[in-house]
Amino acid sequence: MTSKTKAQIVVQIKNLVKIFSDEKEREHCVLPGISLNVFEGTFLTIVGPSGSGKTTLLNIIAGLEEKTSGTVKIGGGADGSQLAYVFQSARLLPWLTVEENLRFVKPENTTEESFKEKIHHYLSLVELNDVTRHYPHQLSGGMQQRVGIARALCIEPAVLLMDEPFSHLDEITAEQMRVELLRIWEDTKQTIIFITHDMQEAVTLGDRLIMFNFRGEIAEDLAVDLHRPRKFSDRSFIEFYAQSVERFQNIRKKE
Amino acid sequence: MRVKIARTIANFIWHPRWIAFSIILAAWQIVAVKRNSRVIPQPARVWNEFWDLLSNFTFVDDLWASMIRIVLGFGVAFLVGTSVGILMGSRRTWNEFLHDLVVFGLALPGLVYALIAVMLFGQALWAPVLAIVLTSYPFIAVNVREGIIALDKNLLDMAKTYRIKKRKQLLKIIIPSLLPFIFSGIRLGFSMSWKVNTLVEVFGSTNGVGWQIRASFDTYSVHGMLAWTLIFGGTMLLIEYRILTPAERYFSRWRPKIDGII
Amino acid sequence: MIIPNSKPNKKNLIRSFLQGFFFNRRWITFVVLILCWHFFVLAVDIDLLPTPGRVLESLREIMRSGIFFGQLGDSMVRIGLGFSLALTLGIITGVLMGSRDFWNKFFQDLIVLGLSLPGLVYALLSVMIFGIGLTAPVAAITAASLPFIAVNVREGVRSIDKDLLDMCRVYKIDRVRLIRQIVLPTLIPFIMAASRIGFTVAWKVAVLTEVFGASTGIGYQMRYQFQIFSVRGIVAWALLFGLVMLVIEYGALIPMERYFNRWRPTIEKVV
Repeated sequence: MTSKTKAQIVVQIKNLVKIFSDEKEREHCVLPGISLNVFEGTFLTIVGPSGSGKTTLLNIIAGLEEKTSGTVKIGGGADGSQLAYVFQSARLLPWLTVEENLRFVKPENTTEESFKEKIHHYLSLVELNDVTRHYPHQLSGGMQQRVGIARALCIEPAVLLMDEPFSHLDEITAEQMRVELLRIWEDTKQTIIFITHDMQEAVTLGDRLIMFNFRGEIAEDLAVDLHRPRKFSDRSFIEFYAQSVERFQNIRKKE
Repeated sequence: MRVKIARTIANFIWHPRWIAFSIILAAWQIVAVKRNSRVIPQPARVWNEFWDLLSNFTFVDDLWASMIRIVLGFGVAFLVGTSVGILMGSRRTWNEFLHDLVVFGLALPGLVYALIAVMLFGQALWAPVLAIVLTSYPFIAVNVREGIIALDKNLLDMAKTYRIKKRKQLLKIIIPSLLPFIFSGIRLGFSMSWKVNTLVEVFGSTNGVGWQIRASFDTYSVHGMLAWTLIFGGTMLLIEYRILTPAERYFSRWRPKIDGII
Repeated sequence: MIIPNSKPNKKNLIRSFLQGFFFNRRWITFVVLILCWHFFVLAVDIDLLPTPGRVLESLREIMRSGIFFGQLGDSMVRIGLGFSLALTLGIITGVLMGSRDFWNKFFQDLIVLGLSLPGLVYALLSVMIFGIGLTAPVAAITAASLPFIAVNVREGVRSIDKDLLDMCRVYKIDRVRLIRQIVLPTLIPFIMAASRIGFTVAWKVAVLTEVFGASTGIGYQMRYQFQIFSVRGIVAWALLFGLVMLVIEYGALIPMERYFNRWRPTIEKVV
């Protein structure tokens, strides 16, 4: 883990401020000025109460929402760096087959053939080789979400953004998906920013854990130094989990 | 397999629709015989008239004349309706601007358009085209607008994060989601086109299906009118089952299969 | 944190209503359209095309001669009779079709046929068969609007929530309460939609019937204007027709719909 300090910074956020104004022109400050560096290969999980601006942060990184002030740099800072976003629902195009859905996101500068190879590589990574010609409605919710993940991976993004991607799934499927996501992450060493409201999920997945408070500030920034695979029966895991929950409750008490 | 075919045939034969048809035909026959009046012809008479028209190909010229008018008028109406619908769906100001106009257009009977068009253009091709455009564009516009409002913003956001070009977004997201709405617009608009074109032909034309219906009315020939109505209806069915339904099925092949409603 | 607004008092309400009424984009639309029409007519210079002013003149004539309400009343009687007959028969047919497969198949083809026949055919046939009188328009209106009502009611019956029916069975709710509390509330929006479509169809067919076989009514007036080649006369009558439709829409149908849908969480605004 010591090598991480020398690793490249993939996402660099400085003094990011986001203020919404509603239809009655009242202003709501969602992000009061956040600074954050994410290193290459990190699995960063973010936990926070609902309405604390987690999703807004991801949307700004992804370019879906305008920031009020501050800077966000991705990759080397060049504009061409690719991003991928896995949403709560899979957001597949229902009229395209699984394979066509992946082909839909082909970057402009990639050739058709090399991208086809990537599609097949990542579809086999999420174990969906058999259903390439199926339409989304023929797949279960978990399978659809796996297609969403394969779609995100196959553009080989600088950073993979995930916004509670398993919250719409039943707990058994979600648990399987977490195991698979970790396996894929170990394989690809993909930089991931993962939002959740579930502390256990955050501790299981991340190697860095950030907690937001109600005002949208970073209240805690912890390194999760637990060996993998992590099991809920491990003593160290339970201790870390319990500590995190306690810290999170303290954050909420201060409100 | 054979059992399946046999069952299909049996289902077709033992269908309650035949009971309905028999009851209506029988009642018609009885009334026609009892009243013995020219205005209530026996079913057989209507059928003969229809068969004469079909077998002598006398219907072709009139049907063709009507078709040309409808296709031209509907083509223009489709373009106008789609543009108006897109404007209304994507721009708030345009929606407010056009809303009342479209509602008014939906409420006015085709007769008004038909009469005005005939008075303005007489027997020229412009008369049916104008009447068709005015009656059927609101139907297409309303449907397209609904489709645009129903666009899944989540999918567009997804495309944005993957930096998909606008053209690709249009082809792969917007048009496919609009298609079902466009289809129901085409259905409604096309049947409106037929109806108003017939009206235009009734008041100001010397050929076409509508003119034939008018001629039957003027000569008090109920059987003639019914025969022409059958031709009209048959053509509509043919267009529905040979063109619209297959096209719609092709474009919605990705949908989960739902049991047929109609 | 969103602070709920304090309730505005009555004066403010009235003022904001008046503001919304007068400074509305609708009026701008209206004025722009009238101006376009006016200058278009002046530009093309065809004798037949009336300017808005001439149409207004016709409108004034119609109102001054006092024939409008008489003619409207005649049409209304025909529509009222035909439409209520169609509504009664249509609801019965629709309920039968929605609840029993046999009846659905029995009526299916007839309904499809009825939906696709143009109103003109109904109008001409009933004029030929029944001659000039009250029967012809009533028969034509009933036949033309019945299929629309039946189809809507059928969809309503089909959309009754089976889970709620099961719930009633569990709690042993009696039939009367079941119909009053579950069946009717589900059906009413569909019946409302059906009435709306059916009413529009009824109007259009009524006017058509009057064109071909009546000596009174709005349709007859239009026919008369057509015969004396007066476009402005037709436009004037069409405007009056549209006005009556709008009054019925905003005065009767929308308030009724709002009343029956008051328990719904949101009122979707379609068209």
